[in-house]
Formats: sequence, structure tokens, C-alpha cells
Amino acid sequence: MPASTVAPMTEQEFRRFYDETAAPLHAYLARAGGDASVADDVLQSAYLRFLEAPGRSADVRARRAYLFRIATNLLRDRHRREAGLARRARQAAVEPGRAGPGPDRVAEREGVSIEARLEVRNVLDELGARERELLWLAYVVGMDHREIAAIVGVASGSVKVLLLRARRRMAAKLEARGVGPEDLA
Amino acid sequence: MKGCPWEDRVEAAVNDARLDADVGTHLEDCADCRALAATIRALRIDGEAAERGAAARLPDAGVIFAEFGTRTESRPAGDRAAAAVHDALRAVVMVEVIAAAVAAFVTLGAAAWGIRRLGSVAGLDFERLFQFGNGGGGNGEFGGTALVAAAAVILIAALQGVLGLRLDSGSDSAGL
Repeated sequence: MPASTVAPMTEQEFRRFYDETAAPLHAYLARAGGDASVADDVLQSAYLRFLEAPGRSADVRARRAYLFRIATNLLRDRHRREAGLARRARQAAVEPGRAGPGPDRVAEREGVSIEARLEVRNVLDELGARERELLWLAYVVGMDHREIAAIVGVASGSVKVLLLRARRRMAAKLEARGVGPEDLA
Repeated sequence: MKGCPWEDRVEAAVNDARLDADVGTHLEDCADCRALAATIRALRIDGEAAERGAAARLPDAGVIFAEFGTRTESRPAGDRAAAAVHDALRAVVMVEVIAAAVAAFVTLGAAAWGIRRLGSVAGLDFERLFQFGNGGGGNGEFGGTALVAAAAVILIAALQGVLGLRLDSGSDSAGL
């Protein structure tokens, strides 16, 4: 629970916070949870819980970390309830074309082939849920180890080692699929 | 598990998209750091793609805020009722724990007394048959019976405690 608390958010404050966090949170939920429609549901619930939470911090980074923590817990609760359904949905989510044309154009612009990017996504789906959460929060959202520890529910000192293991597993899986550093450079 | 000593520097450089000459030279020599840089870059590209894909699916912030307002207005009466039910259930569980512990102790004590009484009436030496302790009779059986009774009470209390905790954690964990 954050240490310092503030008065409830006004709609304007919420809109500003939402504009900054909604897309990264949805992307995180879609990749960590394996399905964009799950992300749609969890995202709205996460913001409602966030608004209802009495102990929000005034610090922007702490607020963001708190929101991601709520969302991660909601995602895990949902997966516990619908484990079988979520597995099937994750398999469906790796089908080519699910993400729409925009992301693929980004990959091409970045000099990474569509095939390599799809392999990256497939490899992410093969990793454990916690590994996906760790990698995404560290390298996509850009959170520090203390924030990640609070969100994922591990000791702060363990994050570095867990990240190292997750990176190595991901790199090994990419290599096994024939995607080397040169394909992603 | 230890990685290359340059990993933190490489990680920071890739995260900031600023590869200085030293890092560049190191990346040419170190396969681990090359893989690290490539993995981070792949994740960031996938992240950017996922965020672009998310933009079209996001609900309007106003819709969520309005939903929050609706919930807040209808909350007080419902919250009070839920809190009252929760408190009542906690009291029931506590009474159940105490009653179960007392009942177990009394039942086991009565059983031990009954067996010894039956033995003395029937002329059977139950004390020798069921003795636990030092083999010398006397306080050995009583100590053994008391030990079993205490263990049973603790076990029952623990089971009740688990049930109580389950009752407390009935709502999901997302509320923190």
C-alpha cells in the first residue's frame, strides 16, 4: 500500500492518467495474459479498482505501479477461474494477423521482419506467465526492479536473477526457432 | 547465476537507445550481451506494436469514470450490509473453533476415563494394553492420552482456522 495518500481523482486528472497508462497497460495485459479480449475486460476493472482504492499515492510512478499491480492480480484471478479457457485463447492469440496491420508495419519500419516478430511473440507465449510479466515490465514498460517486485509479488533482490533467467530462456528459444541477434538488430 | 559484467551497461544503453563506442565494441565480442540486446530490442518492438494495436480497443476514459461514479453512489447501503454479514460470519467461525476445541478435549478425556473404568470393572488390564509412556504404568498412560488429546485439539483448531481464513479470503485478491 502506498505510503502517502491523496484526495479522490477528478475526472480531468483521471483522463490525464488514463491517457498516459491505458495503452501500455492494455499491451501488457494482452501479452502477459495472452489475449486482447481478456485485456479489454481486465483493463476496465483495473481502472475501477484503482479509482476505488483509498490509499493511492500522489507520486505518478507509484500510481502507475499500483495500477499495474491491481491489473496483474485481476489477470491472475481470472486465469485461476478460467484456466482452460485462457489456454485455448492464448493459442488463438499467436495466429498471424491477430494484431492487425499496424504493428507489422512498425516491425518492418524497424528493420525486423514480420516472421521474426511473430517468432518473438510465439516465444513470449511459450514462456511462463511470470517470465512474461517480468520481461514486459522491465523492457517494454520500463519499470525498475523495486516496482516490478511489488507488481509480480517477488522479493526485490530476486528480480535481477529472475530477469536474467527469463532473458536467457527467451534468447535460447529464439535461437532454437532460428531467430538470432542479427534478425533482430 | 551470473551474467556478463557488462550486462547492466548494455541493458541501460539499449533501453536508452544510446550505444556508445565501448558498448558497441563489447557487443561485437560478447555473444551473451548481443543476445541480451537483441532480446530487449525485440520486446520493445513487440511492445510498441502491441500498444498501437491496443489504441483502437481502449474504452473512453469518461465511460470508466462514469461507471466509477455510479458504483460510488450505490455503494454505502450495500457496503454496510456486506460488512455486517462478514462480521457475523467471523463471530460464527470463532465460536465454532472454541466449541470444537472444547468438545474434542472433553470427548477424548471421557473416552480415556471410560476405557480405564471399563477395564477395572471387567478385570482387564487396559493400562498395559494401551500404555504409551515409559512402560511402567502410572502416569505414562495419562501423559500419552493427554498428548493425543492436545494434538487432536490443535489439529481441529488448525482446520477451523483454515476454514476461517478461507471465509476471510472469499473475495478475490485484486483489491490489495
